[in-house]
Amino acid sequence: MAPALNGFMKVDANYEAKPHEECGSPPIGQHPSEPDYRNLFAVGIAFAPPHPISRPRKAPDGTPIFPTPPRTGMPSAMIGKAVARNVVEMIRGVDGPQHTASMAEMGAACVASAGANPFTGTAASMTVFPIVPDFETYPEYGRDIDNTFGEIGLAGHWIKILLHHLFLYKARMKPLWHLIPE
Amino acid sequence: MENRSEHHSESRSESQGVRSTAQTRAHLQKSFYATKPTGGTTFFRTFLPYQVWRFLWINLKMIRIIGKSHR
Repeated sequence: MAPALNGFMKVDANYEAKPHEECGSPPIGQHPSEPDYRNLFAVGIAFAPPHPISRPRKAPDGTPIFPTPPRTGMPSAMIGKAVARNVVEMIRGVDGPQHTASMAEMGAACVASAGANPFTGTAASMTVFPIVPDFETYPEYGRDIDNTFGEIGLAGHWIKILLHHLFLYKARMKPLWHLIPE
Repeated sequence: MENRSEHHSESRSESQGVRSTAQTRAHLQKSFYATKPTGGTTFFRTFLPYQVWRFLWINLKMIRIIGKSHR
């Protein structure tokens, strides 16, 4: 199967070209594996999103703006976890991937912080659920407003420091590392 | 003197041009700008007792999203 025009790998999603309004909210990366080759997987920025997650726009100077889903950080870790489980099960004899990682069913949290000092730094904390808007479940905005928010403040900076240490702890596979979520 | 009047007329036409551009381009109008935080908002962004509360609240919110995403 040919890769997408941007060179990324197509996954188990609908890549039929159609206007944004007709795209609805199909799951992006339902099975993060290549449809014709079930033992090939694309995690994070390796897979080709089938469509923009919101209406394509143009900048005042005419530059096209195509909103693609964020595929780094938390989403890529969750897709990676599903892929790892699928690989383990397929090695043990399960026929094809069983674990899904649709970006229409997962949320994401992001903290952008500035400064190293815990009391003079600042950060923007944001969460979004689901990543790909789902107008069938959430007709008004396409997202769960209780779980979609953004805030600037010192608290986000502390969260970033906490995440930094948790991430390194997990990467070193120290005791109980697997209890730390992606 | 002539130069000065020319300069005045040029700057007038320039300012008119800017104004007409602002009227025709939505992103240059004030209503398009991001909201500016009030004094209270900026104060609370670094006010420790409030930020301790927000730290706990945002953590709970993120844990809830992680829980929903891992179903």
